[in-house]
Amino acid sequence: MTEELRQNPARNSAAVGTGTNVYAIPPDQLENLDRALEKLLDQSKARCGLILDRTGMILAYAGDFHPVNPQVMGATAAGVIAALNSMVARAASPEINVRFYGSEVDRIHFLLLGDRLILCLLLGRTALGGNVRSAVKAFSSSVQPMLERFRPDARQAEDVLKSVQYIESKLDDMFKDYK
Amino acid sequence: MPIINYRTREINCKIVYVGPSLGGKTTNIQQIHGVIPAKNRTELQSIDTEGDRTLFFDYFSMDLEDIAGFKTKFLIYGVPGQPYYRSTRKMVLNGVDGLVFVADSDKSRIQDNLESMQDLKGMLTEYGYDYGTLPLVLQYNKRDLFFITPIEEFEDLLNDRGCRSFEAVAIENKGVVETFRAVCAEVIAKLNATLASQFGSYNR
Repeated sequence: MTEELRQNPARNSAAVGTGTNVYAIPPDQLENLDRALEKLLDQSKARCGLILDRTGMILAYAGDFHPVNPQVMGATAAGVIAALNSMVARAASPEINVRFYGSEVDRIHFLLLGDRLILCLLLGRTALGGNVRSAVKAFSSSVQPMLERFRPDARQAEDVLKSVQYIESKLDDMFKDYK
Repeated sequence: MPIINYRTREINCKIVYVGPSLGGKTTNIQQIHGVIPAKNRTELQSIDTEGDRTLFFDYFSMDLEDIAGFKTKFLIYGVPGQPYYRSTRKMVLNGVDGLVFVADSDKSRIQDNLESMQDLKGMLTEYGYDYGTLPLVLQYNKRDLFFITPIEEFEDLLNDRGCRSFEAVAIENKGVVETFRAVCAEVIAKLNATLASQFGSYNR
C-alpha cells in the first residue's frame, strides 16, 4: 500500500470551523465535482475515489468501492489526515511527504483540496504512480476554482428548514420504546 | 457546522462522545448502535488496541428516512479518553455539532472528570468554538457503583452551563438512549436557529 501526502501546516489553521455556520453546497457545484472525479478515475485508472470534508462527510464518490462502505472510508480518511496534520505540525517542517509501502492489492492516495476538502483515491492494481500523480495534478487545478464558489442558496435553505421541523418526530418514532 | 448537500438532499450532523477514559463512552455508542434498526445505521467501526481500549475513535452513522425532501444523517463518534490521546480527541472534535460528556460516577475518579472537562473546554477554545452555545448534554454514568459522586456535586463541578444531564448505567442500557435523544434534540434546535438566522425564518 502506498499513501502519499503533502502537507503545509501553515495553511491548516484556516481549516477549522466556528461551529455556528451551516456549510451548504449547491447542486451545480456538486455536479462539477462529480464530473471532475469521474474524469480523474478514468485518467488515473484508480479503482474508486471520494471527495470529503475534513470532518469526514462525503460530497462526492465514484468507482467500485465494494466491499468498502464509502461513509466509513470517509470518516477514517478524515481521521488519518487530521492525525498526520498533527504529526506534521510537531515536526515543524513546511512540507512533508509521507509514503507507506505494504500490500500489492490496493494503494491509497490523498490530496488536500483548499482548506476544507480531501480527495481520497483507492488505486487498485491497474493504476500506475506516474499516471496517478499527473491526473491528480490536473484534477486539483480544475476543482480549485469550484471551491471558491461554494455558497448557500437562501431559497433551498427554506426547504431544509421545512425538513428540520420534522426530525424530532422521526427520532421519537425510532426510540419510542425508550420514553 | 452541519453540512447540507442539496444534490443528495442530506443534512449531516456530527455528535461526539467525550469524557474520561473508561467512563463508558464506547459502551454508550455500542448500546445506541444496538437499538437503532439495522436499515438506519452503518456498522460500528472501532479502532482500538489489543486491550480493547479506544485508540483512534469509534464511529457509526444513523440515517433518518426522507423528511420533507431531505434525509438527515447523524455521524456518531467516540474518542479515546486517556490524556495522552489529546491530539486524536481534538481532531475528532473538528466540525462537531453536538457533544455528550460521559462522566464516571466512581467517587475516586472525580479529578479525572474535572480534568477531562477542562481538556474539552481547552480544545473547543483552540478550535474557536463557543463552549457556551455548542449543544452539550452530560451523562453521569455508572450510577450502580457503591461509592459514587452525588448528582449535586457533579452539577456543581461539571455543569456550569446548566445543560441537560442524565444518570445512567450504560452497561445495562439505562439512561443511554435518553442521553442520545437529548443531544439530538439540542443539535436540531441549534440547526434550526442557525438556519433561521443565516437565511431568514422559514415562517416569515
